[in-house]
Amino acid sequence: MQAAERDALKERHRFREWAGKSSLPADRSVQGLSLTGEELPGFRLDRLDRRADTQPPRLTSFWRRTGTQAVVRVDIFECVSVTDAHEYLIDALNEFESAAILRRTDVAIGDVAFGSDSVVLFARSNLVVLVRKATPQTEAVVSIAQTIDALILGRLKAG
Amino acid sequence: MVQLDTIAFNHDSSAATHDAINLRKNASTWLPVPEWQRGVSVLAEDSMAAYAVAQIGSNPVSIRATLSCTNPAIHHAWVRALDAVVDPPPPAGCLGWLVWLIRAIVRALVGNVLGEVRARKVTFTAGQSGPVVFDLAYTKLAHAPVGPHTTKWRWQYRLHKGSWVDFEQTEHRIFVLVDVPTAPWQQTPYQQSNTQLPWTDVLKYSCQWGLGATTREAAAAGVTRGVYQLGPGVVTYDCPGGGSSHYSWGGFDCTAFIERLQGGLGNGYYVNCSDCATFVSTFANSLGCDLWQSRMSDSFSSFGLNPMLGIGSTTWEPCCHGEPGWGDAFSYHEVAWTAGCTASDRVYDGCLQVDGDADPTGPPHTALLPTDMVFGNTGDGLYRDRLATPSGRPHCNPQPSTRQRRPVS
Repeated sequence: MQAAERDALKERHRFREWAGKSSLPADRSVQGLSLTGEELPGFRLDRLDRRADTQPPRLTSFWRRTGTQAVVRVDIFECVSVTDAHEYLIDALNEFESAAILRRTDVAIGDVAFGSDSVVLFARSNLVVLVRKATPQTEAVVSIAQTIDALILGRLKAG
Repeated sequence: MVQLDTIAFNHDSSAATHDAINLRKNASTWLPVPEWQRGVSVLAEDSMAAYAVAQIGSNPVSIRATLSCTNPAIHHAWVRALDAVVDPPPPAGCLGWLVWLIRAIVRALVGNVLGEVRARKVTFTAGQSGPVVFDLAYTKLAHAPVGPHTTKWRWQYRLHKGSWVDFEQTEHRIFVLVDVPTAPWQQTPYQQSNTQLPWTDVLKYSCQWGLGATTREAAAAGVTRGVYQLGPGVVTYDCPGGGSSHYSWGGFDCTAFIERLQGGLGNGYYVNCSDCATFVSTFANSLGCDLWQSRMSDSFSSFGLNPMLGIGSTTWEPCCHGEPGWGDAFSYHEVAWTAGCTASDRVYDGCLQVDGDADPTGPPHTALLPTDMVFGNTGDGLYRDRLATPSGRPHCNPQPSTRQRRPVS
């Protein structure tokens, strides 16, 4: 992304309002987060793919709602710091073709969150998380994002 | 007595002018050479090779085979292979002459792209021939169209002054490409660690989509149609998710896309424009086209959309019209694009059909898949005008700095 484009995207999403801010001390971070398949009640972990060769490293998981064909995808991007995570959030917002992906302040998810009921993009500490539908389904993904966020918070508090 | 042990189509990995190009099966699986091996290769799919027509031209084409002979008294034999479709085992008598004539005509019209294996003398030392290069005869590669072709060979040997004896029949899947695949695909280094060598798992689809093409433009158009027609059965536009990238985020997850094409989950049902641009350019480039993935946008404003048929949709409306999180506009759009990805270059958009009539802003609508269409300037009536509303067109600008070819994984 070119600098001017990046600046415009930051302006559009009011980057200054949330950049660098975290609910936990900046020296707390989550490294090497793993998932066991037990994290999302009512879902079965279909696939887990850790990519260490991407920048930032990424943990992608696909979760199938029990007894249905509905699948939700969760991507967790592991940045070095809160600052890097928030910069990467701008990169992530640049991957949405919709011009109406907006910040969400009506739900308690992450240090900062964007999206809708069908897609949630948030940052918590040094992590950027994207929760979205992989197949058609009527259920919202907000509660899944909240569960993942709680999992991350638990890891952060455990040190 | 005489038996065929191996056939190598890609027997010179440093060139594609006289033999097949360098390939692998997919990201994780290597494609061994020799491509045909006794006891291993049974179906045509067990022995795959690809030829780049522009490189082959009118050059002689050869294969390299190894043979063995169980009779220690035999030190030499003539060996050849006929087209098993055009030249099945002949009937006897006068009918045989008529059949011969018909075969000659059929061979000229529809014989397989590799033709036949020209007869040559093979010497056996301790029952082994070692690698033997055979020239091919009656090949059609110089003018062959893109496609997956099947070659069936009926191998024969002949001892001194004897008659030809059938001893083996082999089948091969031959992919014909316009030219050597371009980036992200590579031909070097030719080693197992190079995952950017062209994948046969990709060629199976790209050759089918580009079937019959003899030019890069026609091949790219075929691939664009193939990708667009994946909707709504295989993929659909990601309206619920705000049009995020599912297969092209941080590189092309081609493995997942192929899994999806084969009926699996892959990375799911949803795609966006970056995904489609990546599918089109990567698969077209596997046929020797020369496309890029590049964006159009405006840093300071989104651009409004004319009615369209997004991939997977049968309703004329601005993309995702009425969906939460959408406003009848794109923050950016990405397509497969030629050359410098500027307004004067051509786009191939597998993500949507535009209105192709005189007024793309309203009904009636004439569906037009953008293939080999100049991007154009506002008022030209070209791609930009068909995609964006009159007020959106000034904000729908080529962004050649975003030009890329995502690596495959």
